[in-house]
Amino acid sequence: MNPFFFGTKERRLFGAYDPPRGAGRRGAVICYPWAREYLLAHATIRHLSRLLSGTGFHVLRFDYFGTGDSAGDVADGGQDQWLADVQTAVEELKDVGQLAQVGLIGMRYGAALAAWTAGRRRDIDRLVLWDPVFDGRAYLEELAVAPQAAGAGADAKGAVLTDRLRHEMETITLTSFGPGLPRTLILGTAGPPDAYAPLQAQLAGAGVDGALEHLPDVHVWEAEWGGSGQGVGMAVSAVNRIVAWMS
Amino acid sequence: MDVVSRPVQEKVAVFGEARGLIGVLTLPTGDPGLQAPHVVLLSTGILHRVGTSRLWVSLARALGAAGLACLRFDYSGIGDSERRRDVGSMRESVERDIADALAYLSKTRGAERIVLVGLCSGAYDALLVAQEDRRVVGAVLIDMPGPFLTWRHTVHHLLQRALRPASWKHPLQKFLYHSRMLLPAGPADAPDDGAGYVFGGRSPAARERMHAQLMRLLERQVELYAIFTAGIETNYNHRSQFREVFPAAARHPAFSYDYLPDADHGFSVRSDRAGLIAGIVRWARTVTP
Repeated sequence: MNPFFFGTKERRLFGAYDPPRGAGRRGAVICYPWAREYLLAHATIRHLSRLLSGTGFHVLRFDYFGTGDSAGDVADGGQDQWLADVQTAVEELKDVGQLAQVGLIGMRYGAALAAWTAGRRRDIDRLVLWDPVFDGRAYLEELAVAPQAAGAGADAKGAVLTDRLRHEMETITLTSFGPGLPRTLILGTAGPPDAYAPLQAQLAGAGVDGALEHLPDVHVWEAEWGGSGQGVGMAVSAVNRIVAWMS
Repeated sequence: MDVVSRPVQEKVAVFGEARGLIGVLTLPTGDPGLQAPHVVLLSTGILHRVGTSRLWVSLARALGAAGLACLRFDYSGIGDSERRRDVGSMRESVERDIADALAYLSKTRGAERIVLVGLCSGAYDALLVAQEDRRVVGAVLIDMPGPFLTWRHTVHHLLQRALRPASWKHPLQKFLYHSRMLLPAGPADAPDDGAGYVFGGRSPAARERMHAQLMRLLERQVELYAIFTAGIETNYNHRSQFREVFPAAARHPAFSYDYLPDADHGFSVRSDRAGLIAGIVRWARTVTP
């Protein structure tokens, strides 16, 4: 694994690149979830990255601007900037791996960012939406946002939710997905089997080759909070399924 | 967090056994001076170097802005770091990881004075490593696990519960539980997870051990800054608790202390993070000659 900073001087992003075992000619950019979900899912995302590289993928996972180890503060960023960051990461991986196309894998909020990016590029060959956020308002409720003083945004379980970011997140709806998406896997590990059926229907209506799979597994982005704040394990089945589907 | 008041530089740090440990080094843009200590932020449990609520990133940048170079890194097998192959126990692995981090700073930065910062298990790691490493001149111990239970803690705990009607359920069971807490301490009431972390309890042996660890550092003039929240209320819940358990350490001139009753263990609220960071930066300046 090669950790490095990339992007522009003004927007340095932290990335972790796993080179392929052997002469791999495929690539995958992984989009983390946001806020505490990022922290809790980190180990599972790393595991996914390693398994993919072991099957011959160039893999890049990275922190959005103002999150993780990347430069900046959330207050300086926002959804529009993070969408630009995903594009920067795609270009970076194509450059590093000398690839014409790459796949995108996104978990939760990262899935929404990945889908938006995939719909606007021609060089994304596959898309995995892992328990995707497709209703921004419902997602904000899940974050249990605690309002702060006027103009100061809100606290969302350890992350700062600016007023601008909240408005941007509220714009995430089913219509944010498709058309123009590549072959897509919707992988649901949380909720009932039909939790993501509306999204599958949306993709089908947009002419996207999309499959929905329900695979109950550990919700790695969730944990008891306020106590240890630790993660709850590794979603081994989900990771294995994604690797198999990507391969 | 908008605590960074001047630019800092950050670069990836790769070091340790087979270059398997990964971190980020935050450097002040100005010359920190040869005597300025380097700060090392230690992992908390299985969380990686970014820290709960991005706390370690914000703290590293605030310390950098104050002129102190700071390394945050992942213990082996956590975050981006590889699992060590040269050790057996978790305790040994953690101590070697920290030793590798200090060696990296000494070799690449000429660091001769180190301040360790740890939250929860990381605080106890700092306390242990500082015992033997003379480069350590200071340590920030945030919500350090330890044998902190006292009768006064139990009284505070019961008073707070009495104000919540939901806690009145199962009165007999709770009476028995709290009666046990008020009984004289026995040797086996301090659970130890095998890695040396003691959570709660009033074991005389555990207290004697931690007292010796604290005093050994303080008498060596290692500056200690202990910070506690009420985030794990069953372990710590009032300002004078540390002084009641470790009075000699609490009154030592090299010892500083803060109690943050409104903060949770993960510092999930922005203002709590800002207050913690401001306090640590202020304290770190006193360690800087």
